[in-house]
Amino acid sequence: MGIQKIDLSNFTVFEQESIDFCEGINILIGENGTGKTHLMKLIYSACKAVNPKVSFSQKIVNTFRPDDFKIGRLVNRKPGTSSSTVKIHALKNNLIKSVSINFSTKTNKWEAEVKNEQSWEKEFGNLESTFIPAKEILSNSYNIISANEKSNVEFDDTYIDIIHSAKVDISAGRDSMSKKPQLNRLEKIIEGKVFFDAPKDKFYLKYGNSKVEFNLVAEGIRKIALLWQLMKNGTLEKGSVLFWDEPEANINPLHIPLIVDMLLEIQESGVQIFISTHDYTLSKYFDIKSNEKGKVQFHSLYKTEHGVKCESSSKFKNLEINTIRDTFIQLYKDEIKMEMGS
Amino acid sequence: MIQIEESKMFFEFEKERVFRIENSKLQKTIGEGIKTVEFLVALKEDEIYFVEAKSSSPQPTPENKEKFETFLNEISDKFLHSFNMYLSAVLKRNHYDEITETLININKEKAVFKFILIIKGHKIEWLQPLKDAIYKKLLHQNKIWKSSVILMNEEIAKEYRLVKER
Repeated sequence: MGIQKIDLSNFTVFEQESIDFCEGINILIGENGTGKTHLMKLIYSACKAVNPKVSFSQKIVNTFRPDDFKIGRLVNRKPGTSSSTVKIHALKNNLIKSVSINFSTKTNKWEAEVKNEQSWEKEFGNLESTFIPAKEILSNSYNIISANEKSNVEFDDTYIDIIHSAKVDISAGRDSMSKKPQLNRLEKIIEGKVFFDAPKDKFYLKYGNSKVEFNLVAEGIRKIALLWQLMKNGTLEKGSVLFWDEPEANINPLHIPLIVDMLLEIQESGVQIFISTHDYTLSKYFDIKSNEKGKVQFHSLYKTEHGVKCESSSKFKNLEINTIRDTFIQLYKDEIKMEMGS
Repeated sequence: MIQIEESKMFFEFEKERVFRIENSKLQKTIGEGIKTVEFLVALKEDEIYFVEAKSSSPQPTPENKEKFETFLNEISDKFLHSFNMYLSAVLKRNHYDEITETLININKEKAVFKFILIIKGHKIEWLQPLKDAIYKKLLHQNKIWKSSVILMNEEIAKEYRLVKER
């Protein structure tokens, strides 16, 4: 399966827009408030809705967490706008299947009109999808799921789901030959292995015979450790979809080329990937390294009078509207100005 | 006025403000193996620019690794040799007659030195990584003298009145 396209009508910051995705790595860029995470959460909700136990509309509510769990609050706020439609298309065996949702500002809770949900479940029932949020959460995983269920704390579903995914037992068998080099490379950075202590409900990093609480490890290392865990326990396997919100957050730039290499290899093994980023180094490395391997598509989201629009290109450098590059250019111009003293 | 054409770019300065160090008597009398920038220019009081012009630079791709390193070494050698040669002339250890009053009688306490590389047709976003690499090559020089490394393309150089519009 591959998510192929999304049609948006009056959803949050979008008015009318359609975006085509590639089967490889889709990199969303754009300034704050252009809907990068919204797009990823929407598509993620559709991916999770392949499970008959999960409702598409309820998953949207649980990942976006609007006030009073009212999906109607996700309708674009332009005066006179009262309803929203989203349609997500996916490809399977050269056939396009879609699921759509329609709701208005008056829709009660998540009681939206969803079309084709059953055929969506039937077609893509075994699809695995994972969303890595921008903020690391495993170090706070203790009791968080039950606390969230009791509404003692409020975390959107992306945080809860990633804890569940990370807790999946590490397969006892040997790592496949294709997986092993990738795991080894990550182990060199984290200098250990992830260990989940089920009775304590806590994650640790294991260094030889000693283990360190996850919350005592640097946040950047924890994020790379999470990637290790997801690869090790088979969550990121062929045919799955990975969403990663700002992979660069808290990661030392030194490790960015390796993260890019890893993601290109994961994509080549058959995982479709969605990334949002503000990072120049990450984007440039994708531009450079995807020359040799992998399929990459950049999607630049930008604000207009008619809501957020999107420009796509397989090359970061070829985007007409590119806020990351433009900021970098401005920084350089400012630096010259400072050096030249005028 | 002095007019200079280098790497398909056109420069024009008041005669008093420029020293064409390349192929100068200073360079020739010192001898073989000394590399130089195109010229030195003083557009502002107490500021000496060492200007090198290039029509292109190799991209730092894996296949260009050696070429890129050679380019970095060549540029940093040109800046370093020119700086040392100029200072030796200011201290009257080497030939200095051809250097103008403005450039030879510098304020020794205040003078600021800037190493400027202008690359024609270079995109702005390609300048920063190259600038960082050259700055690193000249790190000790820059630390000792508080000198700067500045990379420009032709358009930026025009903004700062280094390259002249034709």
